[in-house]
Amino acid sequence: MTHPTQTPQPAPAAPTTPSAPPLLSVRDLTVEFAVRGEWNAVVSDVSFDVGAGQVVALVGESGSGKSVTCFSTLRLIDSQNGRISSGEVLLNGRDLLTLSEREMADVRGNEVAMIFQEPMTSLNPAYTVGSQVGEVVRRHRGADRAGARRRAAEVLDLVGIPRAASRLDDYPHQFSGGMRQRVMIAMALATEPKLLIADEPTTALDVTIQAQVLDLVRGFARDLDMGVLLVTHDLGVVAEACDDVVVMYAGQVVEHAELFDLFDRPRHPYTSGLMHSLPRVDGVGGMEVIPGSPPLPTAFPTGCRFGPRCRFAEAACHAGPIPLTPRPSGGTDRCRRADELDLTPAGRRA
Amino acid sequence: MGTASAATARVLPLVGRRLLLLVPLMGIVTLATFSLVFLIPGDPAHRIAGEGASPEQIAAVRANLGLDRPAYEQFFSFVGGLLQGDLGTSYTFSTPVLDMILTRMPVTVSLTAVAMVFALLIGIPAGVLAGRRAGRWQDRVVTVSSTVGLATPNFVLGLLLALVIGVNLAWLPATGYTPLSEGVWPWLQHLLLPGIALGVVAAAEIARQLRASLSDVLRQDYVRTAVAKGMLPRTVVWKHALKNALMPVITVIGIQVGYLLGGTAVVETVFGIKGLGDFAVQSVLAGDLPAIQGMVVFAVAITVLASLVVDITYGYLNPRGEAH
Amino acid sequence: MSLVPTPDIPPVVEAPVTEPSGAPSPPRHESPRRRFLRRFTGPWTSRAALFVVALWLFVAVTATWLAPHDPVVQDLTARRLPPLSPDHLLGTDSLGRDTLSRLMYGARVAAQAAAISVLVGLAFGVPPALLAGLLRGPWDAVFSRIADALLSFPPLLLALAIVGVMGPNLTNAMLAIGIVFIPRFFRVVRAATLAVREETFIEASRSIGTPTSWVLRRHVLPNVVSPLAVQISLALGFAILAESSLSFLGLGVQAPEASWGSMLSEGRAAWFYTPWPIIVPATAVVACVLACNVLGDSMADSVGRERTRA
Repeated sequence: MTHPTQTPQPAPAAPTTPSAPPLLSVRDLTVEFAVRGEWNAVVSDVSFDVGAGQVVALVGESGSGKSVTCFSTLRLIDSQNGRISSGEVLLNGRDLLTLSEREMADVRGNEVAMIFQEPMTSLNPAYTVGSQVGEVVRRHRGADRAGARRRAAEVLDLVGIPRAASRLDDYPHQFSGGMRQRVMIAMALATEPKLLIADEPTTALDVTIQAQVLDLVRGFARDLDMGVLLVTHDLGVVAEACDDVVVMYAGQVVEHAELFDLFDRPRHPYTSGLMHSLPRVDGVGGMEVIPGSPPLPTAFPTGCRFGPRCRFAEAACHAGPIPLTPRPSGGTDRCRRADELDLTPAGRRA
Repeated sequence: MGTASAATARVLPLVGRRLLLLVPLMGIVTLATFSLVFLIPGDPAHRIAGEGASPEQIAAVRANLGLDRPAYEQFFSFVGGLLQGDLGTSYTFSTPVLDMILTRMPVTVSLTAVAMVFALLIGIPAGVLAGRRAGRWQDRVVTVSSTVGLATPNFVLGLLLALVIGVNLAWLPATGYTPLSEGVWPWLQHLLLPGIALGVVAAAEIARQLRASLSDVLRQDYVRTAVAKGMLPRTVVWKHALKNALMPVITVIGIQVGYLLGGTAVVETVFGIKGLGDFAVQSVLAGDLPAIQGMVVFAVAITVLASLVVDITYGYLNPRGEAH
Repeated sequence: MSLVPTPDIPPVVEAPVTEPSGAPSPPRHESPRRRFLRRFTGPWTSRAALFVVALWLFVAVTATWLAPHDPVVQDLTARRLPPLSPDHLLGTDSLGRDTLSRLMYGARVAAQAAAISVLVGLAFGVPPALLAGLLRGPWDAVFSRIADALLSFPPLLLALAIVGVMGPNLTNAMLAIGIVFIPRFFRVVRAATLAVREETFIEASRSIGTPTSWVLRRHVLPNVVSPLAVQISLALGFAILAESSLSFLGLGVQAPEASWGSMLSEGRAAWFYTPWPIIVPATAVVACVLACNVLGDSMADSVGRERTRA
């Protein structure tokens, strides 16, 4: 089957939250970076939603634009080299991209909090943990010094830091990597934000700590009814913690589906490639490496961007841009051969 | 809160270690200073007593300085004197060197303080501006001016300030000094021009160092964290970034104390201020050995003290308590 | 003016592009020397600085032939002439001496002071540094302590004190400035030597009994040269500054000889009549110190690894 030529279609809604306006709605986001004075789109027309209490994963290799997407939602893009050239980032219907810098600062750390990949370097070495956590409370909740300190002790305890109250005056270097990521999470949760953006929060941690941190995030999403946008390159993490998955490749969304549906019935060869590059418990298949490497934003192919690395690509795949189309079981994909290929685990084994 | 005492507990051993290191350092300094006497060409007593001194005067100088005794004995009496606060007696001023230093110290301390305050008031904002705007025109302006500032000798700038602002425009006095006891404005009025002349190099050094460290710190992950927490730009820069960026600057400030002290010699001469710098120049011109030695030991002690203060400040700023 | 202030927090997300941006990309395999030259001669500032230093040294060497007048001969009929006067390109001072000629002889004095003091610093700073860095142990401890102690003297004051005891004249001023450089050169060379020493190939070649002199010439000196060159360049600037300061105080060049410092000192009296005897040497001092500093800075930037900045 060939896709009918499509005009820019209405952005697809998230598969699992049909009712009510979603908490976060990213619409046709395009972000450009300047390389030698030329602007290149690093993220093109990305759309997805995150509902309250929902964990949405943004998955892709490094350079796929997933981190840029999540930084853009909080407008944390270097204004000299980068710009958000079009799109909307709606938080409860309010477009964050139209806010003033000052209004944006009121959103950050308050309605939307963020945690980062590197817990070792993401905390300020010159201030105590208590003051760094308390600072957010003072900034956004107008708490006084003592109130902020109490709240800091409370959230540090909540994220499972032993004897939290006695560690308020310790400095980051007195904590291990896993504990520091807990501090980061405590800092993010101190104001009970509606949305948490987590940029590869577990990548720098070792495996047992990874699971604990994911459990923590997952648990808070449920208990506080908080939306989570989880950026990761690790499908294992996705399977562990998420409801919805957005797969990105070369700055585009290539597939977007509910977790189990995506794992059971991947429709984009890249999604399936990512899944098969995972080590598998049953030892069947797995650890297949996708040949080649992702293109640079200066050299995105004109046709299917994954085409040059795709084992199913035909001449027609390289002819022109591939539109995003609805998947039969919900969500979207960006493959013109999606209907004829059987990429399910069973199908690939056959 | 407990943080202050925790910081003190962290800093104290550091100070102790530094003080221990100071003992051999001051020993070598004292030896070096004492050895200046051996640099005197010909008969030291003759040179110290001055041109046209009678043989009796020369003999008196020799006996007085103990130059007729063996070198090690001279050294021990020199050290013994130092330990008792006796820096010897100036020949040109016929006054104990320590008294000379103590009388003139308020003048030079005032001058150095004005210079340092000027350096901080200019250097820190300029460094912050350049570091925040790294690569843009503001940065370029600060970098160019600090490079020129570094290349301008104190006395050249002092001379130009004294002549143009002091003499031609007559906005501020070009010479002299009024003690603080006679009012803040008369005091400051006399110190502004020499303070600027003396402080410009320090301002330039501070701005340069702060620009480098701040632009580096602003790229750190924890600064991004602060922005993502919703901290306002001024909090991010002046609190989160600055405390980290100031650490190397503190070292520069400590070094500058010594340079400022050296610079007073020239600046006080230009502005006709009778402070320690002027005392040093007068003693040097007269070849007044005890005065020179006394000045040098004193200056080194101040410099060393400044570096101790730097270490303590560093200990407070850096929670890891490492010396740099 | 835009209502939306641009956030003034520098880069938060770097462009996800791995190619270095900016100037033409460097050739792949270039020797360290070529790379140094390319980077060093790139910015116009370092070329300008090189030109100023070259001009200074050229004038210093050729002053005796180049100077239109005898710098100490007074001509009371031609006092305080403005620049561009016939026969006196930069005018004359209150004693009718030719400012241009005095400036040229001043360049010569500054260059002598710079050369001699740097040589003194090298002669007494480098050998102990090589020894300390290569042999470590007690030599290193002793030399390093002495260097630390010397470093705690404020530099200008140390020079003053030495001139004070040795007697005020130009030679002593030069020696005094040279003594100031000794611990500074020592530090740089010792650090570079230590760094090279840590490299395994030195350990290896020493363990098979290679003579120390060979190790020095083959491995240590090449690595010491670039950091030392940076220090020398900065030292030249300081030497000019120190010589002019000492001469200004009457502790360097003695009247009627010309130095930029003494010209400034003498120019004060004439200020009400003509500013030129001050402006001319002041410009020369600032320009030369500036050029030496810029040269040192750009040398420091040009050695070492390639640093790409977005």
